[in-house]
Amino acid sequence: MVVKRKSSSKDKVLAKKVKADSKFDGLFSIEKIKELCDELDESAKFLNNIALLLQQYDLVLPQLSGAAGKELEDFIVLLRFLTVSILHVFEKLMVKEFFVISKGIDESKLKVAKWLRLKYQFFCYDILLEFFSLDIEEQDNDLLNSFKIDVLEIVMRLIKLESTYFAPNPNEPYFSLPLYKKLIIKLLTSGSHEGIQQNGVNDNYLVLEFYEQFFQKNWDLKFFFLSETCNILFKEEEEKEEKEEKKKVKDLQLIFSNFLVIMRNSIYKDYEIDSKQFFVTNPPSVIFKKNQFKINFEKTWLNFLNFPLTIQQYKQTLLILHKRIILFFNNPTKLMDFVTESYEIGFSNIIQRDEDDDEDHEDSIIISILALNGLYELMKNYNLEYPQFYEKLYKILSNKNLLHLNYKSRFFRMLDLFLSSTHLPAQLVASFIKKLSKLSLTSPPSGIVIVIPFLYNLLKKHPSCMIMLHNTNHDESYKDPFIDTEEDPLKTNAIGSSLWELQTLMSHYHPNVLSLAKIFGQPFNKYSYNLEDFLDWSYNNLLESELHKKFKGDISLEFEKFDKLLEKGKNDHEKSEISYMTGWQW
Amino acid sequence: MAGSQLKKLKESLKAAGLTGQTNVKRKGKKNAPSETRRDDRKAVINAIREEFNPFEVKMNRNKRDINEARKSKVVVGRPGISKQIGEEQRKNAYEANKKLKNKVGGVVDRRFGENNPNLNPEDKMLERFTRERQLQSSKRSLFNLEDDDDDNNNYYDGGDDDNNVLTHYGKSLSLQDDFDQGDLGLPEAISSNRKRSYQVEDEDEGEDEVPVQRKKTKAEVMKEVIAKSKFYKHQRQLQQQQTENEILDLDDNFEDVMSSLQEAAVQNKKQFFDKKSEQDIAYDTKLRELALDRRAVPSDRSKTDEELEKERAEKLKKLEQDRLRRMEGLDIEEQKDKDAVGADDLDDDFWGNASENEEDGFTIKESEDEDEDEVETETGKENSISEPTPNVIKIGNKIIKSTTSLNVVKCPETHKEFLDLLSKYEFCETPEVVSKILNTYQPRLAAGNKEKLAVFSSILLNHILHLSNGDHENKQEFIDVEEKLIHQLKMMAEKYNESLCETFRMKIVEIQERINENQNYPEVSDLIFYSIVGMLYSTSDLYHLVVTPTLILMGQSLESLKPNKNLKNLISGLFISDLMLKYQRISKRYVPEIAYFLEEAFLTLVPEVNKLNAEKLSTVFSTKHYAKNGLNLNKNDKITGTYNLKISDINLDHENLKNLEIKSALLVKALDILGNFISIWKEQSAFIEITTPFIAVLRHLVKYQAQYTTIPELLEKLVKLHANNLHKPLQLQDHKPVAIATFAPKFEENFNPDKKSYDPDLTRQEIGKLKASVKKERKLALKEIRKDNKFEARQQIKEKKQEYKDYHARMARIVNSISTIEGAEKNDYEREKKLRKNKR
Repeated sequence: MVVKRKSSSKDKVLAKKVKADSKFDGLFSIEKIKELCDELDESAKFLNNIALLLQQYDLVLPQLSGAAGKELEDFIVLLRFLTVSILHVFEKLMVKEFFVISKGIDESKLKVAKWLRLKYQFFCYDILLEFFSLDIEEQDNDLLNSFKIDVLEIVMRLIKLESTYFAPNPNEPYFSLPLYKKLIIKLLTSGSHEGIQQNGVNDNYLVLEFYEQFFQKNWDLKFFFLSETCNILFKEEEEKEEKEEKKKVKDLQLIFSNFLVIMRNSIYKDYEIDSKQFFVTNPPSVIFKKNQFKINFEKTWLNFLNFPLTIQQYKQTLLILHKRIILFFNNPTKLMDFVTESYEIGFSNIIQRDEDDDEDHEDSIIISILALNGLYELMKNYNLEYPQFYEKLYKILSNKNLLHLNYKSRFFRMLDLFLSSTHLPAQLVASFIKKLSKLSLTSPPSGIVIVIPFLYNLLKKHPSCMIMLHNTNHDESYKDPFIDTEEDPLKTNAIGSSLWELQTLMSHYHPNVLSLAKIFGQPFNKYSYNLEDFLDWSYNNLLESELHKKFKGDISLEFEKFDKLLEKGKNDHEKSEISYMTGWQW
Repeated sequence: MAGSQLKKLKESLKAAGLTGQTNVKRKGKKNAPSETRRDDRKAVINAIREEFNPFEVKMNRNKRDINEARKSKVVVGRPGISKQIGEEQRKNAYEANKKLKNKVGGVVDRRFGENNPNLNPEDKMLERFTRERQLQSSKRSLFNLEDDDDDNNNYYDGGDDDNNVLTHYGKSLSLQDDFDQGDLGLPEAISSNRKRSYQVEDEDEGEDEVPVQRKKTKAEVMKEVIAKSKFYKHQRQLQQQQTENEILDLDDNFEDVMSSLQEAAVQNKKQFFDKKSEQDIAYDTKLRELALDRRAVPSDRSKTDEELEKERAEKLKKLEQDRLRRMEGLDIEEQKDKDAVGADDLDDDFWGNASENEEDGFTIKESEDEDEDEVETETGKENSISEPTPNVIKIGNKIIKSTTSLNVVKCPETHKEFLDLLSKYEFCETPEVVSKILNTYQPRLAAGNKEKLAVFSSILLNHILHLSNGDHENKQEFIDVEEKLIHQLKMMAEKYNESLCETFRMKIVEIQERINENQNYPEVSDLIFYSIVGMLYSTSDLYHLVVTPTLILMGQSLESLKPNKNLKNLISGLFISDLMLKYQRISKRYVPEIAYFLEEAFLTLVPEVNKLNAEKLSTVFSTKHYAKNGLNLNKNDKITGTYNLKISDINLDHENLKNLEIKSALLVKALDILGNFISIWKEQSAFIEITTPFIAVLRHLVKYQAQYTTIPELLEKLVKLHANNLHKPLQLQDHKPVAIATFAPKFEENFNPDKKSYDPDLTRQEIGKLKASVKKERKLALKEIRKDNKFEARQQIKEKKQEYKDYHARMARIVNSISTIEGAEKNDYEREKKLRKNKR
């Protein structure tokens, strides 16, 4: 009762507005809509009411853009009611088999069915789907957004209904592809550029809703999504051809960001398709073809990878590449070009797209590091041959910021893997050792803490490099033979050099780093260090462990006497007062 | 020996003189009595028989031994004989046991004190003697067998007294009669104790009868000893009694003496009071005052300047030594050693340790406190000449009283309370308020003050940081107050170390949160905080509860502050680098973050950074994004050294970047830090690697700013250091080689298989020996026990058999006798019957 009264009061408001503005003449009230729908339910002779209802949209939509505040709210309430009512009408008609077009039904019924289908298609494609691109420049977008989500649900509902009742023959497996296809296009192009987040993913609520509510659970949706997107996107690109270059790039980035939202999580966790849920009641059998799925997946991804990606998207893609993408490729070797290209990026400053090229170089080296994982995957499992691999790897080390990066632990995991062979030439290993110890001279403790055990393990594995720690065979005219700028790790002469850097680290300011560095002065009788224990240190957990420490002893004080903390002024020197910090004033 | 068994027998018989001529008379030899000779003969024959019985002897032949020389040492045993001996022994023991079975034999030793180990023989004897006497005295009335006069007699000795002799049928009952009859010898088995007492008896008698001087027997000696000791004891007792009596007498008389004395004193007093005049009284009071005045102690004399100087130098030396120890981390090791002591260890420092475990357990020893106070007052005196520093308790107090009207202040418990308190006073009076609080709540004045001031110390720290963040109109005044407060804080840190340390650590956590959230960092107060830590605490320690976390925090700051982003980052980064170098001025530990930051800072400041050769740099690949930040000097700018950097400059707007003065001041500062940097770390083995980028930077810089002499000087110094600092290859693994454990057997020359062990460890060898012997003994003992048991069983069976046999024999005899009688009776009957028949 309360609801009704409320709605009726809204009606009155609407009615008033209708009276006030003559343009609103044709606008129905909610009760009127209800009446029309009830009539439709009663008998087939009121079918024309559908046309009346659909006309309402033409009246409402132009008003929306101008509306604001309370007015907008009213409009949206009306729209929602209208749409839901029409959905119910169509649903009931479908159940009553008004839509059936098959041989052996009489002329008049066929005519009705054709007319109904026409109206239905108009409702779906021209009205519902257009809602997604509806945008008003208002602050309170929430109303519209919630409405859009409702529309999404309605469209999904219709897809389900279509798949059940629109099959060429009753009980034949059918999936309503055309509508789904349109929906996908709408979804992928929705959202805004501002929504593209730091990690290259769009925070588009529609796509998120779609993913969480429908896509995630249902296998048929996944399958057709991939099969359709690989078809759609070509067209999409051709269409965009005319647009100006810059805009196109932006649009494609947007599409990719939406795509990434859907694809960033594993597309299917276990291979067993049988155990999957399905969205439609009777899906076509094609979705059970594993191979077809893989081919679609591959096509789609290859298409998307051709897009002009932002650096963040690049990173995100590379992050999931080796675990979530390569596995589902029919022919993973097709990814080789992409991976090797990405790997090369770190060595030549290709990326110029980012306006803010402050962290330009840093980013490119990160991309190289991230590509390493995929590269390794391809080399290991798919026989990819990468020429001059170790030279390139060594080149990553010449990035002077390496130990300051957040991705350093990832890199060291890979480096550990690549250098684990005991058959590597000592020259090469020595170059890596020397370079790393040089890097540690300017690195934060978190980096040093990785480097020290890493080098220890390397030296343990390659005892011929021990000469870098202990060299008794040298004459007076010894000179450090290491060539820092040499790019080939076999020609750096690092093995003739010594690791003075490590000796310097033995007097590091942090007591733990200091004692860790001292292992190089002790007999090498530890088996080896577990690198994982050292990879994830940061200032924060160093400090935390420091603060948890309970040191039993006096807290020693400075006994030197200072008269001042900072210098007072210029006449300070005349007074001959000692200040703690010289050259600084308050 | 060759020949058959028979031949040998003959020979040995002949040798023993048993065959052949038997009655050959030997020259010079007396004929032994025939009886004994016959016995000899038997024994000799037995010996020969035994010798020739091959089954009586068992030889333990050593199969392994091939050494000829040892053959003579073959162990020969006669199992039969030894068995027989054992059997006999057992039999004896068994019979003895059997005799004692179900009998309580022997004599119970009831002599007094025999089993008391606490008595020495003398006391024992004495006691026995007294008991004996008592026994006698109680018996005296009935059977007084004793001679009253004779002390030395014991009670067996009754025979001497002619008067009271117990008689039986007129014969004396005296025991001694028995002894006179020599035939009645006591059996040998009687207990030795008793025997001895009889002997004593004998001797006693002898003494009485023959009073001739002769050597004293043991018993006599004993008697004498007893008598003497008794005598002495008695004398001692007498003496004791005497003295006691005297004391008692004195005690009784004491009252009287005292009362008379007191009376005399009272009389005297009265006389005194009468005489006293005003003057006298005054004199008295003066005198009393003088007496009560604390007398000067020799050690308190004022020291000469030289002595003071020396003392100070010594103290500094000790502090320096401690500091060095901490720098090397030796104190931590010591701590570990101390901790390693077990939990049961109740050393002297046990309580000290325990209190340290507690939350606020650092008890400051009183003596130390006093020392500090002394130091304080001393320094106070010195300071008071130049300016009135408020930490001087006495002098400062007076000044406050004269200048301001600070009366009673409450010790604030929170920072807010303190602010409320301060709002009543002028800003410049803050240090005085603080010293007033310090005075009023001196720990020695009341209990609980110490805790209050501990809380106040952390409030003071917070207040200093709070002030430094604020904006102050009168800058000079603010600086004065701030410096004074810091000075006071430093003084307090000595006493309230523990709570201040906690505050510092809390502050560190707070700053870290701000760094992580990347907002409002750094503030002026943070920089001040870091420098206060450096000023208060010993930054050279290997590990320090406050300094180490602060260092981490500063490292993190340097890492996160990108100098090319804005001026604030650059200035605060430079300040922190400078401060960190200051921290390391003694310990000279390496801080990678400074090298990293300083290089970036240079790149941010130098003109035309694009032209710098990036290859030599250690932080970046290309310098191009340092070119845009607007902090770089222009090509034609010349450094001026006129501007003084202020810590508050970090709050300047970015607009001030165009100010050449600030820029050049920053560059000068960076160069200054680089200079420090070089001098601190020139000993590092990787010095060349560390400083190579800076050479590149300086070479670049000198092109533009050659007129500023510091730059060429630094460059020259650096190049020279590089030339001197020749890299010597490392020799880190120069360890003493560890011996490999050998598993080859040790070859023993002159190996003797009989020698049980070649163990070089003597004690272990001893232990082994002991173990072996224990095992052997045990085995033997078990064997014996088993044999005993078997023997016993055998014996019992034998006895049983004997018993049965006896029984059957007896029964047979009885039956026999009965049947005999019966037969006789029957015969009689038959006879009688016949007779009767015949009669009839």
